[in-house]
Amino acid sequence: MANRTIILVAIVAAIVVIAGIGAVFMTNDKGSDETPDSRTFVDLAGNEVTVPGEINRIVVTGMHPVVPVYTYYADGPDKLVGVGSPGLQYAKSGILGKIYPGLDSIETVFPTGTDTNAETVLGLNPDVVFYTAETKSDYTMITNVGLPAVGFQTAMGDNSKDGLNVFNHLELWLKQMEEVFGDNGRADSLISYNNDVQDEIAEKIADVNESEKPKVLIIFSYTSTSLLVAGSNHYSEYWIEASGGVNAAADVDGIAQVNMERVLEWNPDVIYFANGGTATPDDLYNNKVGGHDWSSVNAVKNRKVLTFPSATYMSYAPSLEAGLVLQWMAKNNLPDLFSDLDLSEAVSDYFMKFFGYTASSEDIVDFLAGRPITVH
Amino acid sequence: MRKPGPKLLILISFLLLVVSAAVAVCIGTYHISITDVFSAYITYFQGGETTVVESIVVNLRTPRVILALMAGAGLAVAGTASQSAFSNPLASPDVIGVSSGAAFGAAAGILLFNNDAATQLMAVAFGLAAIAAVFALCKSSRSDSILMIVLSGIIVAGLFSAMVSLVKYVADPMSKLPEITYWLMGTLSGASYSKIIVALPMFVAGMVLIYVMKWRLNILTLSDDEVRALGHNPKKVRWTAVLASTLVVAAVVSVCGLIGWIGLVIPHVARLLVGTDNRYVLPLCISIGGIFMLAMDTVARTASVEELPLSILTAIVGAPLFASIFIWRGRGWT
Repeated sequence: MANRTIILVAIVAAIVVIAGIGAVFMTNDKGSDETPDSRTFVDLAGNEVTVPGEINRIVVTGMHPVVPVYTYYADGPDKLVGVGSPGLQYAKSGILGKIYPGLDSIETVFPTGTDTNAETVLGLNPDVVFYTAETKSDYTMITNVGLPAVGFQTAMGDNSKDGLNVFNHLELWLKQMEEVFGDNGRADSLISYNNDVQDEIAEKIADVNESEKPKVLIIFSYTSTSLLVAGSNHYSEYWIEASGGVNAAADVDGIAQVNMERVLEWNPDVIYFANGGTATPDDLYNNKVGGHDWSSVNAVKNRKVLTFPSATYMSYAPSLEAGLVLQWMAKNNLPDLFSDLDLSEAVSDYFMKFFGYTASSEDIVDFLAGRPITVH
Repeated sequence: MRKPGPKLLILISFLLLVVSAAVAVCIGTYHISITDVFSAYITYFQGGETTVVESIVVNLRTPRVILALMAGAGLAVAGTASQSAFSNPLASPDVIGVSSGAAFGAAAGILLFNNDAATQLMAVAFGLAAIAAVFALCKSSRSDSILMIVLSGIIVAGLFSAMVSLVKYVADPMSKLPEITYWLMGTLSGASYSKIIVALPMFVAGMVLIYVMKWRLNILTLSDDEVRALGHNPKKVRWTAVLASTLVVAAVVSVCGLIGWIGLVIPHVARLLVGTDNRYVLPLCISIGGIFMLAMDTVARTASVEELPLSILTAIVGAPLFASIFIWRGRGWT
């Protein structure tokens, strides 16, 4: 008897849910004159996706950098109803969190971003789900429950030079936002700013001799047990070449563990921390980690150890602030050549132009100082 | 011609050990000539500004060589003690969960603290916790037969492996996760005097305990009744040997991460050379284990631009070595 009641309740519940979903679709069908009923496009995962014309509830699984990118595109995070925890922590930890306090009230339903659960996603009743294009299982799961899944890629593809350029990823993501939400001009304005920055810097460093360029090392993370550097075939290759440096760790493929002896052999002139780990420039200046002696390294002698500045995401990876990062790096690599580049002004202009935010001098100093970002 | 006696073999192996240590400090990616290497020690201790060469030789290569010798000797000796204690040639401290426990402790330490000593102590604490859990399981099942100890060990090891996976699952994929992953594959790249000093007391305590027990380890190969007839309590001897090897393994794992195969293979190599008498097997394990580890680590740090994980190297060399001993001996284990 009890069993039958349960089954009956379940059937009624299912009917109500299906009717509810149907009703939502019916309402959407009416549509308004400005927004189309739906939009269909091929996403970055290569799948044809149809999304409703009016999107009010968005869930982001896994794809951390999309949280800030969406927030910028929509000029606010209000429609994000569920995101992975790391993405939100990155987004909130910098200036973006100050600009959009609404980031604080978003639910972080996926603690690690790799643990998407179909029922959790359904429970949030999203109109569209953004997922990491490489996570094929997410695609199957989301589409199985009848939700539109839009893939955003993170991988560097075939490691061609295009895939190493952070701006290319950002451009693809912003363009896809246009596909999903319609063109509001915000993608193109940031893309053209980024293109201008890249062109200006490339033009200036074109005449610099290889021998005058500093040897640059990007440290991905550094602790007493592990020293991970970013070498070739990674974003590091693009960053260093585009900003007028020579990659000290060019022999290293991707991100790999190296030993201190190797670093002493390379003897880099400038060291950047890719804000992944917890180490800071101070740790190198004062030999605080693992008893390693950095005092003979040129970068330490010249006090040229820096951390990637981050405002919306870890900026070693593709991020909204990549244009500022490139200018900052170029100026640090070749201070004489870029002596007329005023970074504070660039930062202040950027936040005014793209976020309508007046950056305080404290914001600017904080941003340029860079800091490690750790999420749990 | 007579086969060389065990004592002579041990003497030769220790000479080889010294020679390989001297060779290892001369090898590195940063080119330093042999004379410069040895004069670096002299100039370093004369004081004054530390040069790059001095820093590499004295502060990078030397602690790494010392650590490799400690790890190789320690794991091999602990392996011998475990094999005797369980009268089983396949036993190793891994079997009873010590490595898994220590691995969990260190992984959790990396996740929670940003401090070497804390991570090391966590590794040691959980290595000991694992053996305590095994002991408690045996106690409550009112049996500490070898089978029960191994079974408890498998339970404890399984649990701790799952907990290591959990730590990896929640670790920040951009920073903590790679660190934990590299560490679980074993590496000496973070070698420093301070880490060695933290691990040393436990390491020495365990090693001395095993060495003192060498006679009693010999008689453990007899049946429990025979051991009793010789006036020893087999359970007491067995647990002491297990505890001693736990101390050594936990100390090594806390600095070097997980390094497989040494504890299993080196004791067999030693027995092949000098027979089963632990008076000779133990010293030979120290020297052969040390030389083997030193060779592996020298390859790990110099073969490519990147550091190679030690466990991969020890497995690639250890597995065929083990297989050839197995084939060479033809049948049965002694």
